[in-house]
Amino acid sequence: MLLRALRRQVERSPERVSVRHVSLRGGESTRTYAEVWAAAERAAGALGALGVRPGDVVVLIGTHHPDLYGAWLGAVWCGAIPTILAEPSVRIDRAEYAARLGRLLSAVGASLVLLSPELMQGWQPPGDQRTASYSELVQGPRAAGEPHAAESGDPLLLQHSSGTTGLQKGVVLTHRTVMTHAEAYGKVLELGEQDVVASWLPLYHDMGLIACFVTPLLFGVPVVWFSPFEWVAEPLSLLHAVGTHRVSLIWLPNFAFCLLADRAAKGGAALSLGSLRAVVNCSEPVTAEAMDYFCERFAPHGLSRAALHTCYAMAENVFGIAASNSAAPPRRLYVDPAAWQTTQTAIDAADTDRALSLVSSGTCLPGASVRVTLDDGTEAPPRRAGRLLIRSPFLFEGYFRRPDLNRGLLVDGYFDTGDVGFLDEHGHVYVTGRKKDLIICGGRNLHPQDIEAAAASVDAVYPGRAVAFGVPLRIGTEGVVVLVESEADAARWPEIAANVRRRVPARLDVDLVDAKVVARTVLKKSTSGKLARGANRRAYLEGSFGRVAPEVVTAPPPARGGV
Amino acid sequence: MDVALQAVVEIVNEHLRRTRGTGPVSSDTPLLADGHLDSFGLAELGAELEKALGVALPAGALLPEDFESPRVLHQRLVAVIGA
Repeated sequence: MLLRALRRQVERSPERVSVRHVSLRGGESTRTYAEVWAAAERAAGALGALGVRPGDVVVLIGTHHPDLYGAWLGAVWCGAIPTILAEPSVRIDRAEYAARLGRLLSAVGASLVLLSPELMQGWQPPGDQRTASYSELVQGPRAAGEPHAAESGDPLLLQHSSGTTGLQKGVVLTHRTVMTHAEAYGKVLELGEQDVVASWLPLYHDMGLIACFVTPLLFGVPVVWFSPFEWVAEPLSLLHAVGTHRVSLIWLPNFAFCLLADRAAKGGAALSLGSLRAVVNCSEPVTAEAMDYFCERFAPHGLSRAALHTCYAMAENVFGIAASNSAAPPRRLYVDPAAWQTTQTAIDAADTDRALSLVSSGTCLPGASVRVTLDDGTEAPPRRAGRLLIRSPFLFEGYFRRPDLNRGLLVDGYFDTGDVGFLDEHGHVYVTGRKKDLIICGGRNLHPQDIEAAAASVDAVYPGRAVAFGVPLRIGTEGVVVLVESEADAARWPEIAANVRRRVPARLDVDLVDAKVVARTVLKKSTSGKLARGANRRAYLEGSFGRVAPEVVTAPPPARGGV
Repeated sequence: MDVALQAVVEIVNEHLRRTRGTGPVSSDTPLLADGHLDSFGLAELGAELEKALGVALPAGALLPEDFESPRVLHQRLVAVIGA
């Protein structure tokens, strides 16, 4: 189904550039629609020769490569189910990464692992499945025959949401759900052949995969791709591409708005941002401060304030549930902070200077709906915060091979997101909280339990006495703080803290903004005797455990909207 | 143009003092592996190096692997600026 739609695009504009791949040191390379199609045909031939059959899971690792398109589409051509996984970063421990990957490969029953040519050199993924590089596939000797005739309900792809435990939970998306979503989301954004997307987002994340890879492909929209690894060191490269390639659409997590504005504040050449019609803030809580900072910094470079948009999305719903567009731009409420805290109701503040500023994530996509329920299960009135439940024509049907999670997944067709928020009188969605204790850092969902387990594995940390929580950072996202108890002599604490700082990124690729060691029984416990994340977080921010890391915002956290 | 290793160490330490509150580090401290620097800090430190050293680096001059330690960073800067 997906390939049928793509073929129409290829026939209509074979010479149009589909992917423009930028490597900051290696230059640019492009693939036209005709070239992408030919690469997929060759890759499918090679995959068939490797024994790939319909329904097989094919894993791809190494997201920044121009031949990834051909390899991914080749798997779809064969009726196989591609899933793109995170590659090892520079600081993750290779043995830890290999162990986690090995567990995942056997859990999904991967029949083949495809790697970028760079990863293929000198690295062998764990397990006994076969391995091939994207480039060797797309240069295969023989093109495949007609694409496998996929039914609309057949699985198209598996999406393993980014984060710490995400690897165990693969979201299955069918041809029908992905295509229906693309149609609805494309309509809201008025996607068309005049558009150009620029992206640095990793493809193992729904925003990279769906918003910037699959959807543009179906609409004949070229994408200028940067590597996520290079982008962090050169964030303005993305905006320089806007002027060069007349880019009209960009998706960014909230922190990237701050990071780009910060970087521009330190100087740099003039930019030409007049072609941008949508810069979409999505995948972590939206802050009004980040949006304003970005606008202020880039308006002199031609950015229109009307180009700033928001979206509420999750992999379980393919991607977007609600989005703003030019007809319904994001709304902003200035609410009374006291009323908000006591009644979880967004009442307009008399004094906007002291108000909480909440940004909406737009209105529901065509066919989608959001319900807000209170603790007693009743429907919340407008502006009253509760649990967000979603229903849509593109909602997933379950997690891959996880019957334990799939039982009772939908209630009356609604999926409980775990997020907290409200609807206003105009149908705009505001997301104001998230699943209990979840930390969202740079768009990644981090589970404190995994971070605590990694910290507790450090020598001289008292067993089970590690607590992790998120704190707001100036950059517009959350940072992770870990506190551990130890019986060791206080002279050893700096060394223990340094080991915690090393262990957590090595195991989980998660940075710590602070790690502190305290004496036994100092950390706060709940009545049940467990370490209390919220109470320790408050105490940390008040300075009870010593100096707070300078990049942490200790004032009351800024108001939030959107995830 | 000459860039002293010690100058790079000092710029890195000033950055860490102002952001994370860790350090001081020496020329061979692993900045990424030891958790002194994260991806949010790379661009900022790059801009601070440009400013403090009075140079304009071309796009792609500094990539994450170049921030491995102050010594590696220094070697990379010398290679880029000297070229």
